[in-house]
Amino acid sequence: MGKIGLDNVKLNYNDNGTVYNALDGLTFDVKEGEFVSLIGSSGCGKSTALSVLSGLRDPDSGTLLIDGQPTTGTGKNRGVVFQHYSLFPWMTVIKNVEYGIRQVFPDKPKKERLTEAKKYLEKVGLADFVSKYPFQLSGGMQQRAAIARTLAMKPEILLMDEPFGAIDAKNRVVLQDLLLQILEESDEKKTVIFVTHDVDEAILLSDRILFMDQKKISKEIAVNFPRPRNREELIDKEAYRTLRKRVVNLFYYESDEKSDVEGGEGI
Amino acid sequence: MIQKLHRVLPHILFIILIALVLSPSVEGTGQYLPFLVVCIAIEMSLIFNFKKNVANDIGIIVYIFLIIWEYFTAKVGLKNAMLYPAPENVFAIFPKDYEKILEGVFSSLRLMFAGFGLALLFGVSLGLLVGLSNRTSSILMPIVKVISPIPPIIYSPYAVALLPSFRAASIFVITLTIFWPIFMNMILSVQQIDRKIMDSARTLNIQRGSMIWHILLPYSLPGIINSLTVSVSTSFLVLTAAEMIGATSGLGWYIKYHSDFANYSKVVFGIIMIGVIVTLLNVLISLIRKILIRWK
Repeated sequence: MGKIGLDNVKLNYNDNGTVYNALDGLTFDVKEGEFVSLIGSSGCGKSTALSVLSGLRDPDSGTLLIDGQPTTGTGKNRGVVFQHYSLFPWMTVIKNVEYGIRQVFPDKPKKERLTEAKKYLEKVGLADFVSKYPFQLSGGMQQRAAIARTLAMKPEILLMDEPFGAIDAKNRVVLQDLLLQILEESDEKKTVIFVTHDVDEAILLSDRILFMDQKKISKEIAVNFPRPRNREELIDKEAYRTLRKRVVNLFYYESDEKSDVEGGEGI
Repeated sequence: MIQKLHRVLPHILFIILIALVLSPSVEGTGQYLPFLVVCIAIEMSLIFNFKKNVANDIGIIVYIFLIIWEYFTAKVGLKNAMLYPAPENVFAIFPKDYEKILEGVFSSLRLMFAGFGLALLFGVSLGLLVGLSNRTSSILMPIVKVISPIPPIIYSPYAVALLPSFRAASIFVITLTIFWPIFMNMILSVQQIDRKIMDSARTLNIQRGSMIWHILLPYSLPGIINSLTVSVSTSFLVLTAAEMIGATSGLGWYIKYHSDFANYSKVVFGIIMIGVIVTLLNVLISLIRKILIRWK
Protein backbone atom coordinates (compact mmCIF):
# COMPACT_ATOMS: atom_id res chain seq x y z
CA MET A 1 0.00 0.00 0.00
CA GLY A 2 1.36 3.39 -0.99
CA LYS A 3 1.47 6.62 0.95
CA ILE A 4 -0.45 8.61 -1.66
CA GLY A 5 -1.94 7.65 -4.96
CA LEU A 6 -4.63 8.20 -7.53
CA ASP A 7 -6.96 5.48 -8.73
CA ASN A 8 -8.50 5.93 -12.18
CA VAL A 9 -9.03 9.66 -11.67
CA LYS A 10 -11.04 11.49 -14.31
CA LEU A 11 -11.59 15.23 -14.35
CA ASN A 12 -13.25 17.58 -16.82
CA TYR A 13 -12.99 21.34 -17.05
CA ASN A 14 -16.08 23.28 -17.94
CA ASP A 15 -15.14 26.50 -19.65
CA ASN A 16 -18.30 28.44 -20.60
CA GLY A 17 -20.13 25.36 -21.74
CA THR A 18 -17.19 23.73 -23.51
CA VAL A 19 -16.01 20.67 -21.65
CA TYR A 20 -12.31 19.87 -21.70
CA ASN A 21 -10.88 16.61 -20.56
CA ALA A 22 -8.14 17.36 -18.01
CA LEU A 23 -7.40 13.93 -16.56
CA ASP A 24 -8.39 10.69 -18.20
CA GLY A 25 -8.04 7.71 -15.92
CA LEU A 26 -4.91 8.72 -14.06
CA THR A 27 -3.56 5.96 -11.84
CA PHE A 28 -0.34 5.82 -9.87
CA ASP A 29 0.96 5.10 -6.44
CA VAL A 30 3.78 6.67 -4.47
CA LYS A 31 5.50 4.84 -1.60
CA GLU A 32 6.31 6.43 1.72
CA GLY A 33 9.55 8.42 1.53
CA GLU A 34 9.68 8.23 -2.23
CA PHE A 35 10.45 11.22 -4.45
CA VAL A 36 8.43 11.05 -7.65
CA SER A 37 8.50 13.54 -10.51
CA LEU A 38 5.57 14.06 -12.84
CA ILE A 39 6.84 15.29 -16.18
CA GLY A 40 5.34 15.92 -19.59
CA SER A 41 4.69 18.67 -22.11
CA SER A 42 2.53 21.60 -21.13
CA GLY A 43 -1.14 20.67 -21.27
CA CYS A 44 -0.52 17.01 -20.44
CA GLY A 45 -2.39 17.39 -17.17
CA LYS A 46 0.50 17.25 -14.70
CA SER A 47 -0.46 20.42 -12.82
CA THR A 48 -4.09 19.33 -12.73
CA ALA A 49 -2.96 16.03 -11.28
CA LEU A 50 -1.16 17.93 -8.52
CA SER A 51 -4.26 20.00 -7.77
CA VAL A 52 -6.20 16.76 -7.28
CA LEU A 53 -3.44 15.40 -5.03
CA SER A 54 -3.48 18.60 -2.96
CA GLY A 55 -7.27 18.50 -2.70
CA LEU A 56 -7.83 21.84 -4.43
CA ARG A 57 -9.95 19.96 -6.95
CA ASP A 58 -11.97 16.86 -6.33
CA PRO A 59 -12.05 14.37 -9.20
CA ASP A 60 -15.23 13.76 -11.22
CA SER A 61 -14.64 10.04 -10.82
CA GLY A 62 -11.90 7.89 -9.33
CA THR A 63 -10.27 8.35 -5.93
CA LEU A 64 -7.44 10.12 -4.20
CA LEU A 65 -5.95 7.65 -1.73
CA ILE A 66 -3.81 8.66 1.23
CA ASP A 67 -2.54 5.82 3.42
CA GLY A 68 -5.07 3.70 1.60
CA GLN A 69 -7.99 5.90 2.64
CA PRO A 70 -10.15 7.70 0.05
CA THR A 71 -9.69 11.43 0.66
CA THR A 72 -11.35 14.64 -0.51
CA GLY A 73 -10.35 18.26 0.03
CA THR A 74 -7.16 19.72 1.35
CA GLY A 75 -5.47 18.40 4.47
CA LYS A 76 -2.72 19.09 6.94
CA ASN A 77 -0.90 15.93 5.87
CA ARG A 78 -0.05 17.60 2.56
CA GLY A 79 2.01 20.75 1.99
CA VAL A 80 2.02 22.50 -1.37
CA VAL A 81 4.58 24.79 -3.03
CA PHE A 82 3.37 26.54 -6.17
CA GLN A 83 5.29 28.20 -8.96
CA HIS A 84 4.06 31.69 -8.00
CA TYR A 85 2.61 33.49 -5.03
CA SER A 86 2.59 30.86 -2.36
CA LEU A 87 3.35 33.61 0.15
CA PHE A 88 0.86 36.20 1.36
CA PRO A 89 2.19 39.58 0.20
CA TRP A 90 0.90 41.46 3.26
CA MET A 91 2.88 39.36 5.75
CA THR A 92 6.60 39.57 6.31
CA VAL A 93 8.57 36.44 5.49
CA ILE A 94 8.73 35.26 9.10
CA LYS A 95 5.05 36.08 9.63
CA ASN A 96 4.21 33.97 6.59
CA VAL A 97 6.03 30.99 8.03
CA GLU A 98 4.66 31.55 11.53
CA TYR A 99 1.15 31.83 10.12
CA GLY A 100 1.63 28.50 8.36
CA ILE A 101 2.81 26.87 11.60
CA ARG A 102 -0.19 28.33 13.46
CA GLN A 103 -2.60 26.52 11.12
CA VAL A 104 -1.11 23.16 12.05
CA PHE A 105 -0.06 23.78 15.66
CA PRO A 106 -2.55 26.36 16.97
CA ASP A 107 -1.78 25.50 20.60
CA LYS A 108 1.92 26.22 20.30
CA PRO A 109 2.77 29.59 21.95
CA LYS A 110 3.57 32.39 19.53
CA LYS A 111 7.12 32.70 20.76
CA GLU A 112 7.85 29.07 19.93
CA ARG A 113 6.19 29.41 16.56
CA LEU A 114 8.44 32.35 15.74
CA THR A 115 11.56 30.46 16.87
CA GLU A 116 10.49 27.51 14.74
CA ALA A 117 9.84 29.81 11.76
CA LYS A 118 13.27 31.36 12.16
CA LYS A 119 14.89 27.92 12.28
CA TYR A 120 13.34 26.95 8.95
CA LEU A 121 14.20 30.28 7.35
CA GLU A 122 17.81 29.75 8.40
CA LYS A 123 17.67 26.33 6.80
CA VAL A 124 16.80 27.84 3.43
CA GLY A 125 19.35 30.61 3.80
CA LEU A 126 17.01 33.50 4.55
CA ALA A 127 18.18 34.31 8.08
CA ASP A 128 18.90 37.91 7.12
CA PHE A 129 15.59 38.48 5.37
CA VAL A 130 13.05 37.40 7.97
CA SER A 131 11.39 40.79 8.35
CA LYS A 132 11.23 41.63 4.65
CA TYR A 133 8.00 41.58 2.70
CA PRO A 134 7.75 39.17 -0.25
CA PHE A 135 7.87 42.01 -2.81
CA GLN A 136 11.30 42.96 -1.47
CA LEU A 137 12.69 39.52 -2.32
CA SER A 138 13.78 38.00 -5.63
CA GLY A 139 11.74 35.16 -7.13
CA GLY A 140 14.27 32.63 -5.87
CA MET A 141 14.16 33.99 -2.32
CA GLN A 142 10.36 33.95 -2.37
CA GLN A 143 10.47 30.27 -3.31
CA ARG A 144 12.94 29.60 -0.49
CA ALA A 145 10.50 31.22 1.93
CA ALA A 146 7.59 29.25 0.48
CA ILE A 147 9.56 26.02 0.93
CA ALA A 148 10.43 27.03 4.50
CA ARG A 149 6.76 27.63 5.30
CA THR A 150 5.67 24.32 3.84
CA LEU A 151 8.41 22.37 5.66
CA ALA A 152 7.70 24.17 8.94
CA MET A 153 4.14 22.86 8.78
CA LYS A 154 5.65 19.35 8.89
CA PRO A 155 3.43 17.69 6.29
CA GLU A 156 4.02 14.00 5.58
CA ILE A 157 3.62 14.63 1.88
CA LEU A 158 5.21 17.48 -0.06
CA LEU A 159 3.56 18.50 -3.34
CA MET A 160 5.52 20.85 -5.58
CA ASP A 161 4.10 22.37 -8.75
CA GLU A 162 7.03 23.54 -10.92
CA PRO A 163 8.45 25.40 -7.92
CA PHE A 164 11.59 26.45 -9.78
CA GLY A 165 9.92 26.94 -13.16
CA ALA A 166 10.03 30.74 -13.08
CA ILE A 167 13.55 31.07 -11.70
CA ASP A 168 16.67 31.80 -13.73
CA ALA A 169 18.92 28.88 -14.59
CA LYS A 170 21.66 29.70 -12.09
CA ASN A 171 19.36 30.07 -9.10
CA ARG A 172 17.36 27.03 -10.15
CA VAL A 173 20.47 24.89 -9.73
CA VAL A 174 21.11 26.39 -6.30
CA LEU A 175 17.54 25.71 -5.20
CA GLN A 176 17.58 22.15 -6.51
CA ASP A 177 20.70 21.45 -4.49
CA LEU A 178 19.13 23.08 -1.45
CA LEU A 179 16.02 20.92 -1.75
CA LEU A 180 18.14 17.77 -2.16
CA GLN A 181 20.16 18.68 0.90
CA ILE A 182 17.15 19.47 3.11
CA LEU A 183 15.32 16.30 2.15
CA GLU A 184 18.40 14.24 2.98
CA GLU A 185 18.16 15.37 6.60
CA SER A 186 16.62 12.55 8.58
CA ASP A 187 13.96 14.64 10.31
CA GLU A 188 12.75 16.11 7.03
CA LYS A 189 12.33 12.83 5.19
CA LYS A 190 9.14 13.17 3.18
CA THR A 191 7.09 11.68 0.43
CA VAL A 192 7.42 14.12 -2.46
CA ILE A 193 5.54 14.56 -5.72
CA PHE A 194 7.26 17.11 -7.91
CA VAL A 195 5.80 18.49 -11.14
CA THR A 196 8.34 19.77 -13.67
CA HIS A 197 9.15 19.84 -17.36
CA ASP A 198 12.88 20.03 -16.72
CA VAL A 199 14.41 16.62 -17.44
CA ASP A 200 17.67 17.23 -15.56
CA GLU A 201 15.76 18.47 -12.54
CA ALA A 202 13.55 15.38 -12.55
CA ILE A 203 16.50 12.97 -12.77
CA LEU A 204 18.57 14.76 -10.15
CA LEU A 205 15.79 14.82 -7.56
CA SER A 206 13.65 11.74 -8.16
CA ASP A 207 13.54 8.08 -7.32
CA ARG A 208 11.03 7.58 -10.08
CA ILE A 209 9.80 9.64 -13.03
CA LEU A 210 6.23 9.38 -14.27
CA PHE A 211 5.79 10.66 -17.79
CA MET A 212 2.35 12.02 -18.53
CA ASP A 213 0.82 12.17 -21.97
CA GLN A 214 -2.77 12.47 -23.15
CA LYS A 215 -3.99 13.18 -19.60
CA LYS A 216 -2.61 9.98 -18.09
CA ILE A 217 0.65 8.24 -17.20
CA SER A 218 2.23 6.86 -20.33
CA LYS A 219 5.62 5.77 -19.01
CA GLU A 220 7.32 5.08 -15.73
CA ILE A 221 11.08 5.29 -15.32
CA ALA A 222 13.06 4.35 -12.22
CA VAL A 223 16.03 6.55 -11.33
CA ASN A 224 18.37 4.32 -9.39
CA PHE A 225 21.28 6.62 -8.65
CA PRO A 226 22.39 6.29 -5.02
CA ARG A 227 21.83 9.11 -2.54
CA PRO A 228 23.13 11.52 -1.41
CA ARG A 229 23.47 12.71 -4.96
CA ASN A 230 25.98 15.18 -6.28
CA ARG A 231 25.12 17.08 -9.42
CA GLU A 232 28.66 17.25 -10.85
CA GLU A 233 29.38 13.57 -10.28
CA LEU A 234 26.01 12.59 -11.66
CA ILE A 235 26.16 14.41 -14.97
CA ASP A 236 29.54 12.88 -15.77
CA LYS A 237 28.17 9.37 -15.56
CA GLU A 238 27.42 7.43 -18.72
CA ALA A 239 24.30 6.01 -17.07
CA TYR A 240 23.01 9.54 -16.44
CA ARG A 241 23.41 10.48 -20.07
CA THR A 242 21.67 7.35 -21.26
CA LEU A 243 18.78 7.93 -18.89
CA ARG A 244 18.54 11.57 -19.84
CA LYS A 245 18.35 10.69 -23.53
CA ARG A 246 15.68 8.14 -22.79
CA VAL A 247 13.53 10.69 -20.94
CA VAL A 248 14.09 13.42 -23.54
CA ASN A 249 13.02 11.03 -26.27
CA LEU A 250 9.71 10.51 -24.49
CA PHE A 251 8.85 14.12 -25.30
CA TYR A 252 9.46 13.53 -29.02
CA TYR A 253 7.52 10.30 -29.25
CA GLU A 254 4.77 11.26 -26.85
CA SER A 255 1.83 11.24 -29.27
CA ASP A 256 2.77 7.91 -30.78
CA GLU A 257 1.48 5.73 -27.99
CA LYS A 258 2.64 2.43 -29.45
CA SER A 259 6.27 3.39 -29.84
CA ASP A 260 8.72 1.93 -27.45
CA VAL A 261 11.41 4.46 -26.79
CA GLU A 262 13.39 2.52 -24.24
CA GLY A 263 17.06 2.87 -24.84
CA GLY A 264 16.49 6.01 -26.81
CA GLU A 265 17.25 4.68 -30.30
CA GLY A 266 15.90 6.61 -33.22
CA ILE A 267 17.28 10.08 -32.63
CA MET B 1 20.14 80.96 -19.11
CA ILE B 2 16.42 80.33 -19.51
CA GLN B 3 16.69 77.54 -16.97
CA LYS B 4 18.31 79.89 -14.50
CA LEU B 5 15.59 82.46 -15.09
CA HIS B 6 12.97 79.77 -14.55
CA ARG B 7 14.64 78.97 -11.24
CA VAL B 8 14.54 82.52 -9.89
CA LEU B 9 11.27 83.64 -11.51
CA PRO B 10 8.96 82.56 -8.68
CA HIS B 11 11.17 84.37 -6.16
CA ILE B 12 11.16 87.54 -8.28
CA LEU B 13 7.36 87.26 -8.46
CA PHE B 14 7.29 86.86 -4.69
CA ILE B 15 9.21 90.09 -4.22
CA ILE B 16 6.90 91.90 -6.67
CA LEU B 17 3.90 90.57 -4.76
CA ILE B 18 5.28 91.70 -1.40
CA ALA B 19 6.11 95.14 -2.80
CA LEU B 20 2.60 95.33 -4.20
CA VAL B 21 1.03 94.38 -0.89
CA LEU B 22 3.07 96.97 0.99
CA SER B 23 2.32 99.77 -1.46
CA PRO B 24 -0.66 102.03 -0.72
CA SER B 25 -4.08 100.51 -1.33
CA VAL B 26 -7.50 101.85 -2.20
CA GLU B 27 -9.86 102.71 0.58
CA GLY B 28 -11.56 99.87 2.42
CA THR B 29 -8.61 97.48 2.23
CA GLY B 30 -7.90 96.10 5.66
CA GLN B 31 -4.94 94.71 7.53
CA TYR B 32 -2.29 93.29 5.23
CA LEU B 33 -0.42 91.28 7.86
CA PRO B 34 -2.39 87.97 7.60
CA PHE B 35 -2.07 87.97 3.81
CA LEU B 36 1.63 88.67 4.13
CA VAL B 37 1.96 85.67 6.43
CA VAL B 38 0.22 83.49 3.84
CA CYS B 39 2.56 84.76 1.09
CA ILE B 40 5.61 84.05 3.23
CA ALA B 41 4.28 80.57 4.03
CA ILE B 42 3.95 79.87 0.30
CA GLU B 43 7.50 81.14 -0.29
CA MET B 44 8.82 78.98 2.54
CA SER B 45 7.26 75.84 1.12
CA LEU B 46 8.71 76.77 -2.30
CA ILE B 47 12.18 77.12 -0.84
CA PHE B 48 11.68 73.85 1.03
CA ASN B 49 10.80 72.06 -2.25
CA PHE B 50 13.29 73.93 -4.45
CA LYS B 51 14.65 70.70 -5.94
CA LYS B 52 11.35 69.83 -7.58
CA ASN B 53 10.86 71.49 -10.95
CA VAL B 54 7.13 71.22 -10.68
CA ALA B 55 7.14 73.21 -7.41
CA ASN B 56 8.72 76.06 -9.36
CA ASP B 57 5.99 75.97 -11.99
CA ILE B 58 3.23 75.80 -9.41
CA GLY B 59 4.87 78.71 -7.55
CA ILE B 60 4.87 80.84 -10.72
CA ILE B 61 1.18 80.17 -11.36
CA VAL B 62 0.17 80.83 -7.74
CA TYR B 63 2.14 84.11 -7.56
CA ILE B 64 0.80 85.38 -10.88
CA PHE B 65 -2.71 84.62 -9.67
CA LEU B 66 -2.10 86.41 -6.33
CA ILE B 67 -0.49 89.42 -8.06
CA ILE B 68 -3.47 89.81 -10.42
CA TRP B 69 -5.91 89.38 -7.56
CA GLU B 70 -4.06 91.85 -5.36
CA TYR B 71 -3.52 94.39 -8.14
CA PHE B 72 -7.08 94.61 -9.42
CA THR B 73 -8.83 94.51 -6.05
CA ALA B 74 -6.59 96.36 -3.63
CA LYS B 75 -4.63 98.71 -5.91
CA VAL B 76 -6.90 99.56 -8.85
CA GLY B 77 -10.23 99.02 -7.15
CA LEU B 78 -12.98 97.37 -9.18
CA LYS B 79 -16.49 98.76 -9.52
CA ASN B 80 -18.24 96.13 -7.43
CA ALA B 81 -15.58 96.02 -4.75
CA MET B 82 -17.91 94.12 -2.44
CA LEU B 83 -18.16 91.20 -4.88
CA TYR B 84 -14.40 91.04 -5.38
CA PRO B 85 -12.81 91.17 -1.95
CA ALA B 86 -9.11 91.98 -1.80
CA PRO B 87 -6.84 89.17 -0.55
CA GLU B 88 -5.94 91.30 2.47
CA ASN B 89 -9.59 91.39 3.47
CA VAL B 90 -10.09 87.67 2.87
CA PHE B 91 -7.14 86.51 4.95
CA ALA B 92 -7.81 89.09 7.65
CA ILE B 93 -11.00 87.15 8.36
CA PHE B 94 -9.13 84.39 10.16
CA PRO B 95 -7.68 86.37 13.11
CA LYS B 96 -11.01 88.18 13.44
CA ASP B 97 -13.32 85.22 13.12
CA TYR B 98 -11.19 82.22 13.99
CA GLU B 99 -13.38 80.95 16.82
CA LYS B 100 -16.41 80.67 14.59
CA ILE B 101 -14.36 79.21 11.73
CA LEU B 102 -12.58 76.56 13.77
CA GLU B 103 -15.86 75.64 15.39
CA GLY B 104 -17.27 75.19 11.89
CA VAL B 105 -14.30 73.12 10.80
CA PHE B 106 -14.54 70.83 13.82
CA SER B 107 -18.27 70.48 13.46
CA SER B 108 -17.84 69.49 9.81
CA LEU B 109 -14.99 67.12 10.61
CA ARG B 110 -16.91 65.42 13.41
CA LEU B 111 -19.72 64.63 11.01
CA MET B 112 -17.22 63.44 8.39
CA PHE B 113 -15.45 61.08 10.77
CA ALA B 114 -18.72 59.69 12.08
CA GLY B 115 -19.79 59.04 8.50
CA PHE B 116 -16.43 57.48 7.63
CA GLY B 117 -16.54 55.20 10.64
CA LEU B 118 -20.06 53.97 10.00
CA ALA B 119 -19.45 53.55 6.26
CA LEU B 120 -16.28 51.53 6.91
CA LEU B 121 -17.99 49.36 9.49
CA PHE B 122 -21.05 48.58 7.38
CA GLY B 123 -19.33 48.64 3.99
CA VAL B 124 -16.65 46.15 4.98
CA SER B 125 -18.79 43.78 7.05
CA LEU B 126 -21.78 43.71 4.70
CA GLY B 127 -19.46 43.54 1.69
CA LEU B 128 -17.77 40.49 3.20
CA LEU B 129 -21.10 38.88 4.03
CA VAL B 130 -22.52 39.40 0.55
CA GLY B 131 -19.25 38.60 -1.22
CA LEU B 132 -18.81 35.29 0.60
CA SER B 133 -22.27 34.00 -0.23
CA ASN B 134 -23.07 33.45 -3.89
CA ARG B 135 -26.76 33.14 -3.11
CA THR B 136 -27.02 36.43 -1.22
CA SER B 137 -25.00 38.30 -3.80
CA SER B 138 -27.05 36.99 -6.70
CA ILE B 139 -30.20 38.23 -4.94
CA LEU B 140 -28.81 41.56 -3.75
CA MET B 141 -26.58 42.66 -6.64
CA PRO B 142 -29.43 43.56 -9.07
CA ILE B 143 -31.11 45.62 -6.33
CA VAL B 144 -27.84 47.28 -5.35
CA LYS B 145 -27.13 48.16 -8.98
CA VAL B 146 -30.35 50.16 -9.08
CA ILE B 147 -29.93 51.94 -5.74
CA SER B 148 -26.19 52.62 -5.62
CA PRO B 149 -25.95 55.03 -8.59
CA ILE B 150 -28.44 57.43 -7.00
CA PRO B 151 -26.28 60.37 -5.86
CA PRO B 152 -26.63 60.41 -2.05
CA ILE B 153 -26.76 64.22 -2.05
CA ILE B 154 -30.26 63.85 -3.50
CA TYR B 155 -31.40 62.36 -0.21
CA SER B 156 -30.26 65.33 1.86
CA PRO B 157 -33.42 67.51 1.78
CA TYR B 158 -35.52 64.46 2.57
CA ALA B 159 -33.08 63.20 5.21
CA VAL B 160 -33.06 66.60 6.90
CA ALA B 161 -36.86 66.47 7.07
CA LEU B 162 -37.08 62.82 8.04
CA LEU B 163 -34.40 62.40 10.68
CA PRO B 164 -34.65 63.90 14.18
CA SER B 165 -31.63 66.22 13.94
CA PHE B 166 -29.46 67.79 11.31
CA ARG B 167 -26.48 65.89 12.65
CA ALA B 168 -28.20 62.56 12.12
CA ALA B 169 -29.27 63.56 8.62
CA SER B 170 -25.82 64.63 7.49
CA ILE B 171 -24.14 61.59 9.03
CA PHE B 172 -26.65 59.45 7.15
CA VAL B 173 -25.92 61.13 3.83
CA ILE B 174 -22.13 61.06 4.29
CA THR B 175 -22.24 57.43 5.38
CA LEU B 176 -24.19 56.55 2.26
CA THR B 177 -21.75 58.42 0.01
CA ILE B 178 -18.79 56.48 1.32
CA PHE B 179 -20.64 53.24 1.94
CA TRP B 180 -21.44 52.32 -1.68
CA PRO B 181 -17.91 52.39 -3.09
CA ILE B 182 -16.52 50.48 -0.09
CA PHE B 183 -19.34 47.94 -0.17
CA MET B 184 -19.00 47.31 -3.92
CA ASN B 185 -15.23 47.18 -3.66
CA MET B 186 -15.41 44.64 -0.87
CA ILE B 187 -17.82 42.35 -2.73
CA LEU B 188 -15.69 42.45 -5.88
CA SER B 189 -12.44 41.83 -4.08
CA VAL B 190 -13.88 38.86 -2.16
CA GLN B 191 -15.41 37.34 -5.28
CA GLN B 192 -12.48 38.01 -7.59
CA ILE B 193 -9.65 37.28 -5.19
CA ASP B 194 -6.50 36.16 -6.98
CA ARG B 195 -6.82 32.41 -7.45
CA LYS B 196 -3.17 31.86 -6.61
CA ILE B 197 -3.64 33.45 -3.20
CA MET B 198 -6.86 31.52 -2.65
CA ASP B 199 -5.20 28.22 -3.59
CA SER B 200 -2.31 28.96 -1.28
CA ALA B 201 -4.74 29.77 1.55
CA ARG B 202 -6.78 26.62 0.93
CA THR B 203 -3.76 24.34 1.02
CA LEU B 204 -2.91 25.84 4.42
CA ASN B 205 -6.34 24.70 5.71
CA ILE B 206 -7.15 28.10 7.19
CA GLN B 207 -10.21 28.39 9.45
CA ARG B 208 -13.01 30.67 8.25
CA GLY B 209 -12.40 33.39 10.86
CA SER B 210 -8.70 33.58 10.13
CA MET B 211 -9.51 33.48 6.41
CA ILE B 212 -11.53 36.69 6.78
CA TRP B 213 -9.22 38.43 9.23
CA HIS B 214 -5.80 37.45 7.87
CA ILE B 215 -6.46 36.90 4.18
CA LEU B 216 -9.58 38.61 2.81
CA LEU B 217 -9.32 41.85 4.80
CA PRO B 218 -5.64 42.59 4.12
CA TYR B 219 -6.16 41.57 0.49
CA SER B 220 -9.00 44.10 0.17
CA LEU B 221 -7.39 46.87 2.20
CA PRO B 222 -5.64 48.69 -0.71
CA GLY B 223 -8.94 48.78 -2.62
CA ILE B 224 -10.78 50.11 0.43
CA ILE B 225 -8.25 52.88 0.97
CA ASN B 226 -8.29 53.78 -2.73
CA SER B 227 -12.03 54.15 -2.68
CA LEU B 228 -11.72 56.28 0.47
CA THR B 229 -9.35 58.61 -1.36
CA VAL B 230 -11.95 59.10 -4.07
CA SER B 231 -14.91 59.46 -1.75
CA VAL B 232 -13.33 61.87 0.74
CA SER B 233 -13.81 64.79 -1.67
CA THR B 234 -17.27 63.68 -2.70
CA SER B 235 -18.39 63.24 0.88
CA PHE B 236 -17.12 66.70 1.81
CA LEU B 237 -19.08 68.10 -1.11
CA VAL B 238 -22.16 66.29 0.13
CA LEU B 239 -21.61 67.49 3.69
CA THR B 240 -21.12 71.16 2.84
CA ALA B 241 -24.13 71.06 0.54
CA ALA B 242 -26.20 69.54 3.34
CA GLU B 243 -24.90 72.17 5.76
CA MET B 244 -26.07 74.87 3.37
CA ILE B 245 -29.57 73.42 3.55
CA GLY B 246 -30.16 72.89 7.19
CA ALA B 247 -27.25 73.40 9.56
CA THR B 248 -26.47 76.07 12.12
CA SER B 249 -22.72 75.43 12.13
CA GLY B 250 -20.07 74.00 9.85
CA LEU B 251 -18.23 75.40 6.85
CA GLY B 252 -21.13 75.01 4.43
CA TRP B 253 -23.35 76.93 6.80
CA TYR B 254 -20.62 79.59 7.27
CA ILE B 255 -20.42 80.23 3.53
CA LYS B 256 -24.18 80.24 2.98
CA TYR B 257 -24.87 82.41 6.02
CA HIS B 258 -22.38 85.11 5.05
CA SER B 259 -23.35 85.16 1.41
CA ASP B 260 -26.88 85.92 2.59
CA PHE B 261 -25.40 89.05 4.20
CA ALA B 262 -23.25 89.74 1.11
CA ASN B 263 -20.10 89.39 3.19
CA TYR B 264 -18.03 87.94 0.36
CA SER B 265 -14.69 88.23 2.14
CA LYS B 266 -15.94 85.59 4.53
CA VAL B 267 -17.44 83.55 1.69
CA VAL B 268 -14.13 83.44 -0.20
CA PHE B 269 -12.25 82.64 2.98
CA GLY B 270 -14.67 79.78 3.70
CA ILE B 271 -14.09 78.39 0.21
CA ILE B 272 -10.32 78.50 0.69
CA MET B 273 -10.75 76.81 4.08
CA ILE B 274 -12.66 73.93 2.46
CA GLY B 275 -9.80 73.46 -0.01
CA VAL B 276 -7.34 73.34 2.88
CA ILE B 277 -9.44 70.83 4.87
CA VAL B 278 -9.97 68.46 1.93
CA THR B 279 -6.24 68.58 1.19
CA LEU B 280 -5.43 67.78 4.81
CA LEU B 281 -7.87 64.86 4.77
CA ASN B 282 -6.22 63.50 1.63
CA VAL B 283 -2.80 63.81 3.25
CA LEU B 284 -4.17 61.94 6.26
CA ILE B 285 -5.45 59.11 4.05
CA SER B 286 -2.19 58.73 2.16
CA LEU B 287 -0.43 58.67 5.53
CA ILE B 288 -2.74 55.87 6.68
CA ARG B 289 -2.07 54.04 3.42
CA LYS B 290 1.66 54.33 3.97
CA ILE B 291 1.37 52.94 7.49
CA LEU B 292 -1.08 50.12 6.75
CA ILE B 293 0.17 48.99 3.35
CA ARG B 294 3.89 48.59 3.62
CA TRP B 295 3.79 45.44 1.55
CA LYS B 296 3.40 46.95 -1.93
